[in-house]
Amino acid sequence: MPASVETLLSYFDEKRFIPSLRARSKATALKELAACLAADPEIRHPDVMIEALESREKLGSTGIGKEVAIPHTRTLSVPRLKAMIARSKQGVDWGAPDDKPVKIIFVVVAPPQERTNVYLPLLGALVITMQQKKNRDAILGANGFDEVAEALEAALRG
Amino acid sequence: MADVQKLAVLQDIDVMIRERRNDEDMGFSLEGLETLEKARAKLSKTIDGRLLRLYERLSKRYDRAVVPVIEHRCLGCSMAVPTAKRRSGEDRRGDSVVVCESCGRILFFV
Repeated sequence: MPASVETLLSYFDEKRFIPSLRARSKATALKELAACLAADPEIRHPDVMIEALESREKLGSTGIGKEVAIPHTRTLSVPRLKAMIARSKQGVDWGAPDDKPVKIIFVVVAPPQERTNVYLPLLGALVITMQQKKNRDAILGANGFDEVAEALEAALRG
Repeated sequence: MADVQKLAVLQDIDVMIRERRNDEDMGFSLEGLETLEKARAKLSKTIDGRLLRLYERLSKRYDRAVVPVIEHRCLGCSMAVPTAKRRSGEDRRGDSVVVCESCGRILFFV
């Protein structure tokens, strides 16, 4: 059974939202994002998580173009799927295919043994919904996490 | 970083390489496979040789050589991890390598 919109949204939380990243480079942005995720007491090995995210970027940029990046990986460092959203006013060079700096970043990390099978559906849904300008504009223009979550919900419901 | 954490990263990379097709299907470009393989080789050199051989041996036998301990159980074989081993793994926060008494997989205390 495909994951419902409610299920996908349930992985996002105000605690894992950065309204405006300070980082200017991909390397420092990954560290800032990982630090936000690592505030979660369930994540006991943040170093392993950031190594995994950095390794994934070596395999190929997670920038999908149109000012969006979705750094993601399966990693032993998390006990369950974690997701977060961040925005960058100035944009971060993510090595995206269209060379545009990234202003919307979703991070998705999941354990290899993730049994809920949400990891790939969530990634796929984010890749698809972020192709549309109206969805990206809604997230960039939102004030605070609640409005971002509303924008994301509207995007996922299509 | 402790050896068991390095082994966790190594396995994360191996899973990443093995399952890269999923990313390709979603449209991510994966032009850096060689770069990642070089990073894996570099990381391997920093791991104790005996542990690395154990990891490689277990990887041939099992889908995953390093498995998390969830609710005091080895997620590879579901057997309970004895308290003494649990304490050793949890208290030292990854400084020591603990293997499952039942299946021999390397345990990762998440």
